[in-house]
Amino acid sequence: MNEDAAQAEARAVVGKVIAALTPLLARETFPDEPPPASRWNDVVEIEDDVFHAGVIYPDGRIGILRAVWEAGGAVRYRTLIHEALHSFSPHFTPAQYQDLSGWEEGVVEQTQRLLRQDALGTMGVRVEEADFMPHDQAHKYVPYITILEGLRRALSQDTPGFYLALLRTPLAARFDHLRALGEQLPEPDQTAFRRALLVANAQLRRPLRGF
Amino acid sequence: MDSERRNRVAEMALRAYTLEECLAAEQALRDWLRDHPQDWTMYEVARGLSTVKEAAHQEESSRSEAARPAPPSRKAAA
Repeated sequence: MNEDAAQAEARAVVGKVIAALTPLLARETFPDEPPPASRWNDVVEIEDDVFHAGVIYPDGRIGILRAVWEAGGAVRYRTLIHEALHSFSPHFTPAQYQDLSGWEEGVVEQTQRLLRQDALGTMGVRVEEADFMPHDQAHKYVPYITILEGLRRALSQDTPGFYLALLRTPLAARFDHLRALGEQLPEPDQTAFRRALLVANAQLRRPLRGF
Repeated sequence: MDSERRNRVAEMALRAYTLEECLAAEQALRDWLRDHPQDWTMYEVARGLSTVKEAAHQEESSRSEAARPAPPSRKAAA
């Protein structure tokens, strides 16, 4: 396949991923709100001289490492769904990401895991869940997911609603979103949750300079 | 696979905050991926590092701008 054909195919596949995710992100949890909008600008670049699996650039382009694209299957689709989900996250600056990366990556990675089979089903793509498992288990964002799952259980929230609500919330406001949910808990759960949230926040942020 | 080295490299990448830390983590990741080109999840760690590095770059640039002496005023120059 020549270069132009590969780029065109990648663009078409990302378009299908975005189209499949849009109704999934809106379903049940937000029936009265308009579906979330993706920041993807319709451009996909298959990249050679990078070493990240995939990326969404500030201008909305999605880049995917050629080796990841050519690997196909679980490797390709978990990366494309992950990057496509970042495109639904309200705009954040690199500096915000620098401080709050766990709040973004944990939410996006867990949402990818929760929605991928439904999204792939809509797209008519079959990748067995067992094929994703080795990647899930070895993934370096697992600690972020573990922390978020602890908060979700403490709030008795369902999945994927807990993650979909976080994904719709601006990155800098996700801590406050959960704090507000915690204030609805009865005592002594409310106090326990407040403490757990402070600890979680420290773990989901990058270490601040000077500490 | 050398899991101790893998964990160390991932930790460097996930904790990097300053430009210097980002560049060191990037080099460690590149070395790791050269030796383990099929370790797909480490490519995903690299994704976050790219964004943090961009932020660190911006901050370093704005700090250099702020540290640069202001041009002399017309009065002082005269």
